[in-house]
Amino acid sequence: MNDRTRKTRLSIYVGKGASHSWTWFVDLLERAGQYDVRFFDEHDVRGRKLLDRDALLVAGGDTFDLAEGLGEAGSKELEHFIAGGGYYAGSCAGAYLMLKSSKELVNLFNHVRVKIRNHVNELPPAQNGAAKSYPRYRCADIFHPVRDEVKVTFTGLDACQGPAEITVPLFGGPVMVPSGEASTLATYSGFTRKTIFLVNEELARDVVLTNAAAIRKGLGDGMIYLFGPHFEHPRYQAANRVVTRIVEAAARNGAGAARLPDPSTEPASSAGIDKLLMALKSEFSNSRIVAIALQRYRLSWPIGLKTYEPPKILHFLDAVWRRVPSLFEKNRLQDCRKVERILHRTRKITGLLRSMKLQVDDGGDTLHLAEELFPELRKMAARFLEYHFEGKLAAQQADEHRWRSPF
Amino acid sequence: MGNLTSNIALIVDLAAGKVTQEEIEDDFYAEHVGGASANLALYNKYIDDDPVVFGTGLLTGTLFPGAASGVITGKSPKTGKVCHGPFCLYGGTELKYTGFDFIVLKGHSAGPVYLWLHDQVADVHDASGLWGTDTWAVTESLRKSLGEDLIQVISIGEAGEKGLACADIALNYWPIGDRWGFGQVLGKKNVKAIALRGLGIFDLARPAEFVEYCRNLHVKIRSGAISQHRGNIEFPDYLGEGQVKPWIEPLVHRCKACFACPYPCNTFVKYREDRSIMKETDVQEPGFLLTDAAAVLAMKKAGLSGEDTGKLLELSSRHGVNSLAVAAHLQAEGITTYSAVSEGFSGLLEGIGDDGIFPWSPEIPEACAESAQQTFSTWTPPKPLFADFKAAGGVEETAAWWTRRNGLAYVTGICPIFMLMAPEINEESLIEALVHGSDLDLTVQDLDKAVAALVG
Repeated sequence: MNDRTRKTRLSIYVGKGASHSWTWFVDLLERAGQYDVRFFDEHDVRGRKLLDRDALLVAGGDTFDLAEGLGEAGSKELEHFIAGGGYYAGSCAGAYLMLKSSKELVNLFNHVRVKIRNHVNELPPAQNGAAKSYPRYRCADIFHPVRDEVKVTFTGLDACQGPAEITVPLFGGPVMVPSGEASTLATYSGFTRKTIFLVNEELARDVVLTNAAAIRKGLGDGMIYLFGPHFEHPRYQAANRVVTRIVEAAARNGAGAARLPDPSTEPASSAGIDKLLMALKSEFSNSRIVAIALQRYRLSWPIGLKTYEPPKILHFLDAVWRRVPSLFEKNRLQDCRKVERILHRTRKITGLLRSMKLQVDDGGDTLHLAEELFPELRKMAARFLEYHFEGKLAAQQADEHRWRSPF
Repeated sequence: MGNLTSNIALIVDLAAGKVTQEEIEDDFYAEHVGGASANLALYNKYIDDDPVVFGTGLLTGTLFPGAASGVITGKSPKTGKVCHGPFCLYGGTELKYTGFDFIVLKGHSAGPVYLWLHDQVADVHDASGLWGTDTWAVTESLRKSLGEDLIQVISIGEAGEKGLACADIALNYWPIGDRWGFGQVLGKKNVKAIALRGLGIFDLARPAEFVEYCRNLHVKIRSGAISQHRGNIEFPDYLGEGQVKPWIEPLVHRCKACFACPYPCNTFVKYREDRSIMKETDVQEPGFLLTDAAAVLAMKKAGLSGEDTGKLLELSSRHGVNSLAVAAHLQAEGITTYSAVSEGFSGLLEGIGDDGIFPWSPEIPEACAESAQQTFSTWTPPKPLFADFKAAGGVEETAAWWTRRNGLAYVTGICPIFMLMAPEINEESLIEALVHGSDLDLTVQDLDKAVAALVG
């Protein structure tokens, strides 16, 4: 990261209602050299932990679960945080949450009174996979006209300089109606060969094109950014740059004095931490091996209003696994207690996965295991990634200190 | 991590229950190439700790035709000499993908243990609960408890636990090319099993060239001498042993190749279910995978029926006992049926000697057997299979040819049986693949040196 890159105190929402796509924000932030990252659940948000953060990133998931998890207190905390200068960036469910809704719970979050174009009184006939067209939302009047890749065109705001038109993935996110309530950053401008039409193409064009894919609205001293598509998806780097710029712009006065690992942490002996880290690596591998085995089965678990499949297990485990080498780098963090907590949770995950595999082989039901597994995966990944970022941040700050010191 | 290697040897101190990872420099590969030759170097390095070494060749686990082999190197309780035995199917490949090129087991564990190698992690676990179970039960148990059916399990059965000289190592449920009593070696070390699962990868120096070269070689070999043949039950007939195929064929269900091999050598016979049934049924153990043509021939020569041969090979494999030694015992005792020994087979084990039959006829060069007894496993038939290698037909020439082909296979990680049927694979093709795959500046002379280290 060069000196001009602004450092932002970030948080990613990983609590109730979050699916797996928040790890895409993790990848993006790491690539951008933004290492001061905390992972918050609904309790953290309600517990005022946002106050020492510059931005909160909320990715996809189940909007109603998000709203239920955060509740009225969470909504007020968000409003307080943003009004005080914080940035909120939400994609997909993270965007729906803040948009105008009359539905119970979600209506607690009507912070952006922009209409949702794919909200209709009468659902159109579906094609190419009705399940994806009409997810089992409690509001049965949201439909998804298209899925996968779409084109969006920027409307020329400074924060989004770059190519005029880019492609982004749309996995059920909102199509927003431009209005004076918020500035339109980008509009849906076309489809690609990868676009999957879930309703009649003519209807899809009518509903989607020229409407807003990304908007922003000021609230007090802060800003709300909402994205229908997943601009944070790792395969869409032009879109990622938009998010990166927003993240950099979120840095407030005082940023840079970033949180260091707790100095009270007692340094562990090298042999002790090495043994623990190797045990952690072993356990990640154990989990991953079973998760890959489960991919050979046709399994799906309806949990809440979402459907989970085995690749989503691997999604979390891979997000962790590809960062395992950093555990063994020189000058790594040596916080045995944190590693032990992650290890404990990972052992539980391995146990659940192995039980699941045995049940599947015996023809048994695994829903109850999956219901326990996914929250554990989310929590484990969040704790591990926080530990990972702490290490990166400490190394980054040590580097900067060295460069600034004359001797 | 280097090209074609992980550059890591796992050293397991069984007495201490500790594992360490030893970095292997490129110079080591330049000097020993890999496979049995590298195993031997590691064996000699740790010789004071009574080691046994499991290793892979540089080509093991690649797309090179027949690149399925791992090699076990240790002092044979049968010969008192350092010998090498191959293990193929998916065992060699899986070992390579665990992120370890070699495993050195040194010393002896105080109690039964099994090793769980995965993703460059090695865990040593208590195996008290597995001790006393047969090789099939161990495989099932480890796959279930670790949660993956593709785990490759190297294990010993009752014969190995009892430290009998006739003890073999099994890979999953099936026998491997262990003719040296390595089952006894593991038993004395209290190592019940080694479970392998690797999700790793290794790099190639010039991947496009390597893949293209291997693909072309596959195409060439497939359309060559092997194209009219299937299964290892053809080997005895081709070598003039007579009529094994028609004898066992009524039971044959399918033939299955090892990893990356163009020839489907392993032959599955069904004797608890109609062989024509292709889909999986409720019959848990419908038959046996014939991985050893010599064993099939030996059972036939002992006078067993095809069905009883399958059943007895299964029983032998479950108990981890060498099936050639079992055949010799049956022949000596005049036993010609499975039912005569199936009850109380455990009780027979101690009466089974350590000498297996050399099942091939006397006119097949005994010099091969002589040579084999020094170094390589007679799991590999003693003559060319299906192909004309332009080797002179004399006894000494054939023995030298056989030794050379085995040497090249054991050093590079190619299945030694496949080496006898693919003249397209030679020193030049091996070097070309190694040069595309690695950054090592290897030459035919390096191969010569590595092979010479094995056979003198």
